[in-house]
Amino acid sequence: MIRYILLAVFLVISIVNAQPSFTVNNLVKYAEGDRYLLRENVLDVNMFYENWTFYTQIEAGNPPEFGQSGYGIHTIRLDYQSDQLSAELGDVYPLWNHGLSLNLRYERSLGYDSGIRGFNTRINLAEAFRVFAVAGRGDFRLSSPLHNDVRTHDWETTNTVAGTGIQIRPGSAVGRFGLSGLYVRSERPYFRLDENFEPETNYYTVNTQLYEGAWENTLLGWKFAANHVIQVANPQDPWFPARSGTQTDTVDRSLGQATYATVSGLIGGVGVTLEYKNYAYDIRSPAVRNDTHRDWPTRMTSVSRPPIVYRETSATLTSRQTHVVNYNDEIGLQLELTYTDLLGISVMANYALSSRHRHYRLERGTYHVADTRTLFPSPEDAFAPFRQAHLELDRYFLSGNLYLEQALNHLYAVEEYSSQISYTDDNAIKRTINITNGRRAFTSLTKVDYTFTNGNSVSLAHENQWLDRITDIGRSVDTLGVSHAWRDLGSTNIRQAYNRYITFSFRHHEGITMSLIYDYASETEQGEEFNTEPGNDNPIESALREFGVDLRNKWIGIQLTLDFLRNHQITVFYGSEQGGLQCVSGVCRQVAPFEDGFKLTIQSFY
Amino acid sequence: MTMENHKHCIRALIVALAMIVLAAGAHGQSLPRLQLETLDGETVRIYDYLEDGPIMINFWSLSCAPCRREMKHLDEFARTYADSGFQVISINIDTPKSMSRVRARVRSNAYAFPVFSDPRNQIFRKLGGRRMPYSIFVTADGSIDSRHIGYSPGDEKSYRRTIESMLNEPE
Repeated sequence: MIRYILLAVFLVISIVNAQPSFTVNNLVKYAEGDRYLLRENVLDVNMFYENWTFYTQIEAGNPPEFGQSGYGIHTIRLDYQSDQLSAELGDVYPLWNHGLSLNLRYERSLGYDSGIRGFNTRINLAEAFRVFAVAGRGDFRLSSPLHNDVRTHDWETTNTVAGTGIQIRPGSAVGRFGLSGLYVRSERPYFRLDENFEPETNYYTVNTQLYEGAWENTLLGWKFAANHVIQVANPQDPWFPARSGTQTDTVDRSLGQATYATVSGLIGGVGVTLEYKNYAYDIRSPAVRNDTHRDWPTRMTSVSRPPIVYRETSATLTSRQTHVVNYNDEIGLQLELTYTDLLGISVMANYALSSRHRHYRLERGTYHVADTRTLFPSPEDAFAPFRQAHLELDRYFLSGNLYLEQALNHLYAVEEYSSQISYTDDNAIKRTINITNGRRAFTSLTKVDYTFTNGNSVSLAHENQWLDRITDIGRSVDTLGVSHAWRDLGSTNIRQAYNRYITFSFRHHEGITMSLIYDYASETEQGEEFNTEPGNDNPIESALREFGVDLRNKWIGIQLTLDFLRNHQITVFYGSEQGGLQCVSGVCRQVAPFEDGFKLTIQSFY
Repeated sequence: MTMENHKHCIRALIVALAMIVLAAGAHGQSLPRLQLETLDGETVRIYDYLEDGPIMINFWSLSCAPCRREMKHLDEFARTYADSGFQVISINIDTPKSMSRVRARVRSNAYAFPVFSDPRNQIFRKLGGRRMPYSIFVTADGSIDSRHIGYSPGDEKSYRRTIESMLNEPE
C-alpha cells in the first residue's frame, strides 16, 4: 500500500508544480526457445524536483528472466539529498562501509534483490560528525536452476532490519572512524513431515545483532581502510528443524566475526592494491554445511555482503569456473598491480589466494578439527583453497586503429574436502579422501580489433580453456597427508575438458553491429551431450551440418544490435547459449542454457 | 493469465502510461541537479562542471573490459577539448568493496578527467543506466543531447562527432 500512496503523492505534486524534470527508460525482453519462454518489460522512471527525487520501477514479467512472475511496482522510492541530509523512503538499498554488516543490492540481471521497504538516512551534524540510520522489512529469494552445484544454493528469508551508526573524523592525521549496530530478525521457511507424513511448511526465526567498527585514512599518498564486525545470532526456537523428515538438532547462540582490510597506492607509477579478508560469520563442519536439505540458521544474513577479495574476470570461460566466496568461513588475500606504460603496453597482474579456516577429519561418525588457520589462508587442498593468477596485457598500434589484448588466467579451486578414518570388519584402518567439485583451469583470451577510418570496425575475441575437474570422489589412500589432489589421487578421478569461446563482430559506423558467437565444450558441466541429434537443429545448425560440421557440444548464435534515433537500441539474438555460472560483484547464480530460439531486447530512453 | 494477474497488468499499464505522459510533458531531457562524490569522499555538484561547456558523463566498473578501452579514448577527448570547455566526468559504480583497486587503477593511469564514485549505483540508475559502459552527452545548458550504451571499437569516432557538434552549438 505504501508504494501506491508514495506514487499518488508524487504524481499530485508533479501535476500541481509541473516543474520536475524526468528520465524515463524502458526495457523489453522477449525470448522463445526450446523449453524456454521469457516475456518481461521493465520501466524505470525518475522525477527530479530541486533536491527531491522520486523513482519507481514498474515491471511486467510472465515469466521474467529470473524469479517469479509479477506485475506492478517493483521498486518505489522518494529521496532527498542535500549537503546536510540524505534521506530515502520506500525501497532502499543501504550500504555501510565495506558491506560487512549491511550491503543491500539489486542486480536485476541476475535476479538478486536484497532490498528492504523502509527508510535510510544520513545526517551530517558537523563537518567531522555524521549519523546514519536504517529500518525496514524485505523478502529475499534466490534460487538456482542447478541444485547440484555446490557453489550456489537456494536462499529464502524475510528480514526485518533496524540499525544506526556514527562516523567521526577527529583530524586528518588519524582518519575517519565509524561505529554501528544493526539488528536483523530473519524469518525462514522450513519443510517437514507432519504426523501423517504429509509435507508442511513452517517458519523459524533468528535474531541477529551486528556490531561494526570501521577506520580509513590516507597517509603519504597511500589509502588505508579496515573493518571488523561481530555477529551474534540467536535462533529463537531452541531447536532447528530439518527441512525434510522429522530430525531436529539443537542450535545455541552463535558468535561470529569478520575482518576486511586494504591498502592502495603508487610505487614508481605502478598502482598497488593489497586486500585481506577473514570471514568467520559461522564456521561449521562438513556435516552441517553440506546438508543440502536444510539451511543453518546462524550463518551470515542476506543483508551482509562483504568484499570478495578476488578478481572477477571479463572472460566468459573463466567466469564459468570461478570461485563463489564462502562468506561464513573464508580467509584470503589479493594483490593487484597495474602499470600503464611498459613500452606502450598496459599491464595488469592479479593474484588471489583464499581457503577455509579449518580442515576436518571424520572418524567414528564425528567430524574432528584436524588443523586450523586463523590469520592467513592455506594453499593445501585440505583447507578447500581457491587461488587465481591473472595477467592482462594490451596495446594500441597504427595510430590507435589496431588494438591487441592478451589475458592469461590460471585458477585452482577445491570447493569441499574432508578426510575420513573408518574401520573395516577386521578392525583395520581405512583412510579416505573426499573431494566435492575440485577444478583447475588455464584460460587464454586474445582480442584483436581494427577500426577503419570511416568508423567501421571488426573485432575478434578468442578464448581457450583447458580444464581438469574432480567431482564427488571418495578414494582410499595410504596416508591422509594429501596436499595436492591432482598429483596424489591419480588421473582416474580427473575429467579433462577443453572449452573454446569465439566472438566475431562487425560494426557499421551508423550503429549496426553484427556478431557471431561460437561456444564449444568437449564435456559439459553436467556430463550430458548437447546437439547430438540432427533432427533438433535450428536453421543455422542445419546449414552448418550440410558443410559437414560436427555440432556436438557446440552452441552457435548470431546477434544483431541496432542503435537508432540516438536513444534506442534493439538487440536480436538467434541460436543457442550454453549458460553457466555468472557473477556480478560477488553475486553469483547459475544461468540456464538456451536452445534453438531467439531473444529480443529493446532499450529505450524517453 | 489469472484474473489477479490481469488486474496487476492493467494497474501496471496505467501507471506506466501516466509516467510516460508526465515525462513527455516535462521540461525536456535536462540533467538533474545531482551531487557527486570523489574517490576521497568529497562532495561536488554536477552542474559546476557545466559552467565551462558541455560534458560527457561516463559510467564504468572494474569488471567491465570495454569500459577500460573506452576510457583511453575519453582521456584523449579530455586532453584534446580541454581548451574548448568540454569535460569528461567519469563515474565508477563499483561498491566500496573494490574502491582500493579503483583508486590504484585511476592513479596509475593518470587520467585527464575527474573520477567520481557511485557505490550504490544511485546516480547510474537516476540517469537511466542498466549496463556498462554507459555514456551521456550533456550540452552546456544542461540538456541531455544523447546517450550511448556499451562500447564497440569505432564508437569513439561518433563520440567525437557528438562532442564537436555540442561545442559548435550557439549558446
